[in-house]
Amino acid sequence: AYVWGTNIVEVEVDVQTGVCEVTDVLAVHDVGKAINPQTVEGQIEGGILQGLGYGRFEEVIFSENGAVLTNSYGTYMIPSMMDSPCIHTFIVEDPWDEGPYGAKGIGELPLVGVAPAITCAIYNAIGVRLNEIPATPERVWKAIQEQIWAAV
Amino acid sequence: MILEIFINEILYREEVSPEKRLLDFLRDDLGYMGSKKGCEQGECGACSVIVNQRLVNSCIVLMAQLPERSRVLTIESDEPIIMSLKEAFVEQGAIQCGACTPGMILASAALLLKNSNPSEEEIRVGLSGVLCRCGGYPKILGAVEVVRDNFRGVS
Repeated sequence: AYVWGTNIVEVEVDVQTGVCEVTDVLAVHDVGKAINPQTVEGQIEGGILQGLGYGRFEEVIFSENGAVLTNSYGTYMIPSMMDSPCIHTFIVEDPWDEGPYGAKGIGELPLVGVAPAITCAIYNAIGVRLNEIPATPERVWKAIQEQIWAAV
Repeated sequence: MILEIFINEILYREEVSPEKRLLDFLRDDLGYMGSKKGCEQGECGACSVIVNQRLVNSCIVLMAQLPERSRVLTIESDEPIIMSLKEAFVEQGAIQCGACTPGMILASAALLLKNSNPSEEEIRVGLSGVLCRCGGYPKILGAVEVVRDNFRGVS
């Protein structure tokens, strides 16, 4: 399914350490018909957290031989309760004739726009464009340094 | 070894291997299926139970580690705080797929039993050991706040 959705993300970037905290997320999704609005909202919130992890810390790292090094919760970092930002969700209902009660769907769709929104917000905050995720502190810090030295 | 143990206030006297994990004892020996096998490494919190008033990951607790006549609370408990949390989680829509729910409720109960008036930050810290991938954390946080606010009135 396509994502008929928009995400706005607010970040705080510490330029000394490269740490980017996501403080606020607004997500608007056209689901056609929210048959159970509370569950749809929960699904959107979950997708936002997943996108946040994708954008900020989740990374699959392989060894030279192709072994997965990040193969546990201790190494493949997913968001915890500590990382959950302030989330606002808006559900738009523009019914689809062929969907049940007009529903289009939601599911994994809320994940899609969040990581790009995070990198856009980082650019908006500090003028540094990342073309790689996750936007780990190391990557952000390196990008800041490269920009500083390019200007010299 | 023979072990006497209270599960949700019911006394059991069982023959059990000392190296058996508490999670397997609860699920396989006694049929308490509510505590989940998430990662089996003590990282995800889906197996969380309260043992002698302490929140533990039951997947990394061996039966041999438990003091005699230990008291264990699981999600199946009808302890008032756990019942209130179950109700709040349902009403607030804090259950998406439900895999983390038993762990989240036990972690919330452990927090509220120690601190009946936690701040939002304290709730986040208290629940930080249980991972949720499906519904995110906002509604879970909301449900715990509802129970906190109701209990505040009572005590």
